[in-house]
Amino acid sequence: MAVSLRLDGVQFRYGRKPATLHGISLAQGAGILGLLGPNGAGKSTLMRVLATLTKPSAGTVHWNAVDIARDPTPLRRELGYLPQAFGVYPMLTAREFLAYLAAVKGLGPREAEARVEHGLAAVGLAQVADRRLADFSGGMRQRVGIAQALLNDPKLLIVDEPTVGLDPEERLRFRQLLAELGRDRLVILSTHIVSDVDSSADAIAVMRGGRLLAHCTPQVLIERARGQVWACAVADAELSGLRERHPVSHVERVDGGLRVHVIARAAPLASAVAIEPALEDAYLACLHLTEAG
Amino acid sequence: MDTLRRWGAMVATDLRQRIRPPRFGWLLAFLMVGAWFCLPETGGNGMRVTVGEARAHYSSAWIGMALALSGSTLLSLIGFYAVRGSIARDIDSRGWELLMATPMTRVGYLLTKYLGILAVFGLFLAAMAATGLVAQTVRGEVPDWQLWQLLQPLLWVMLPALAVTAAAIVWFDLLPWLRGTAGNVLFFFVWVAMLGAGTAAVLESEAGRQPGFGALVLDVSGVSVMRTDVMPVLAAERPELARDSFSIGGGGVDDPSRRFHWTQWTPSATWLSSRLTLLLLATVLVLAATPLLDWAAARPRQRHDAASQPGFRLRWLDALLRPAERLPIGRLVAAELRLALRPRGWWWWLAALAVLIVQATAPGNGRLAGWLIGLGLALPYLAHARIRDRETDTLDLLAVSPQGGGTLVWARLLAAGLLGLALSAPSLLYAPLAVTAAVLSVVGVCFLLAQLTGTARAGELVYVGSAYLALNGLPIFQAHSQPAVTAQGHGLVALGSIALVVLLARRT
Repeated sequence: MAVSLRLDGVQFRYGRKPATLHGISLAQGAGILGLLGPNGAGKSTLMRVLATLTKPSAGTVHWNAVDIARDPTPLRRELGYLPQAFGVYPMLTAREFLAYLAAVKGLGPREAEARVEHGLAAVGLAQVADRRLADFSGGMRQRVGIAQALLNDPKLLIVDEPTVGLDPEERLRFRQLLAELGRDRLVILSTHIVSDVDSSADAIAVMRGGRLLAHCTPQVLIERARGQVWACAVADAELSGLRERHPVSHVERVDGGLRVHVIARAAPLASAVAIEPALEDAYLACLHLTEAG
Repeated sequence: MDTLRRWGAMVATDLRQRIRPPRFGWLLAFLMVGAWFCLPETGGNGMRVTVGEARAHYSSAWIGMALALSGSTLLSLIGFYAVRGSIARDIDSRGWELLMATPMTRVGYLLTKYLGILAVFGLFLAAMAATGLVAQTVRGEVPDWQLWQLLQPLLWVMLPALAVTAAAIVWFDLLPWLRGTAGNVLFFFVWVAMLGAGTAAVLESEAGRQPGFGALVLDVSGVSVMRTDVMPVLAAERPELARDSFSIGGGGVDDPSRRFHWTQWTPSATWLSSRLTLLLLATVLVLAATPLLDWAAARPRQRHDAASQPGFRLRWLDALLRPAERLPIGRLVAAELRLALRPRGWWWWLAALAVLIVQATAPGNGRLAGWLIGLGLALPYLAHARIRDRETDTLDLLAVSPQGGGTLVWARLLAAGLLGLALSAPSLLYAPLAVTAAVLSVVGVCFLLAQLTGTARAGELVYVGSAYLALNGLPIFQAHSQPAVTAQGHGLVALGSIALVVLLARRT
């Protein structure tokens, strides 16, 4: 079944405080949507709105044509959610904790058992599933969090900074898992680490200050940054001055100084040459030059 | 100077952290209403402080004294539950490690925490004083305000008593096994013992003589001041009313003919030095905890619990619950019961067995005690279940589930009820309706208080307090001797509290 998510002018503010989301609109079908933005961009607030934890102050969110603020239940049945920070019941084993959450999600006993085992295997915890969560490391708890998000075989999977605390091998395994999951469902992955999404995302949304700066494919984002990413050689002492004037996306030590990638509309130095942007460059260009423009 | 600045910053931060939640405003308002209630108008009902058979006209001194004695006896109990948790939070959240990576010393850390608790109590004191001034104006018995006379009793009677509570908070927050329900239950009995021992020491001193210095120090709540400083004034003015007694409590109407004049209080040097000694002892008690700090901080609550309560797999429970799991709500209840019972260690099961045997075999009060202790064994689940998601940061995981709202609350209520009934099984045979109603009312009240206050402590205090009073003869849990009345009373409480819990759960 095709899935669709549509946001129309979504705003959010806490009481009388300034809005943390300003009129976000986008539409997205199955695939992986990488939600990028610096800390405080409003990504987590948007995730909480999408996960039905908070209602938008204005605007609507439709999941498969149902307004989730009016009727959150259909979405909740199809939702897997991994918040940025979450706790566990330390007295329970990983298997028991997942079985508990499966019950809360309304899964039947047989289905719950199968989904718990599937989740444990998917995140590589099957061998330690009967150990108490109190004895788990931070990375292992994060994997339990990922497993719980998969329990109900969700059609919409929302994961907020999911790779925090994972070691490189687990990060790789997680990206592969997401790539598989994204084939027939919508996965929204919020992160400020571009490498988490650069190989797998079908679409990228860039946020800053509660606003959506871009929503397009990675290729389009890269295309837009063409001619705005520059490579140049600078002396050590010049770097801080250059940073004050332009975002620097890459610094590499070379013989006699530094080679840097600079984001700018025009060549930042006479010696600078335009280069082919990577997704990280394109993200920074979108973040800084869209604001400037 | 640096040290003082650092300490000042820590106390101020601690205070800010405590007073900013709206809950603190509610607590302060509750306290002010309570203080107002302690000063009833002539002919009115309220919680009156009396000496002998009289009370003084509402002068600043008497109002200060009445509030101070109410505070030193009752607030020393309630304050513990309202204010504790700051050190435990630092340890559990590992915020303590951040502080210890600074030049802050262990002694400095504990003292600032202690001072932070005292600062909160200072705010309580200020709120009570403000209420006292308003009451003096409104009642109009002695219209002149004498601020120092009002404040003196609060400072000398109430503050040292609260300092002892603050020292107890430091210790109860530090010792890993006292950070949770066990500590909350134990403190109630510590408070009862302290109150009883102190009052007895004063009353047992030879009639007509002043209590000795030791007895005065032991008198944490400071009620001795009535005998040493107030009674002589009453005896001189109204000898017919001067009985050697003192009470804080309701009942009866405030009789305008039983009054005397007491407008000035100059505490005797001996009495005052006993209070300062008590304050010093409380501070020494805090400092004595310093060597334990590193050991205690290495045992955050979750890790400690996991290590000290290995629990059991309880396969028999799985078999027992299997039929219930055919229903969606049954699966949730079963999961909740597993969650409630699996962490329990062998001592809990042994205690449960013991109270079941006592309930089945002991006569009269023994059976009542067995039943109430049995329910007490369920208290860690009853008091925490409603707010567990908040306490364990699992709220977001559960809230997005289709059954994460009202259904889960019902499942928890049912699980709590079943747990309570299982621990009351023999009593059920004697008075099924009354015991069921009482169990459900305890469940409902615990859930409701947890929901309203955001902490399990209120439910724990109410349960332990009412169980203690019931064992001392108050007809609160008389299911075995007065089943009809108990069933009726508890049934109403159960219905009301559970309805409110469900209603509030829907709103949130």
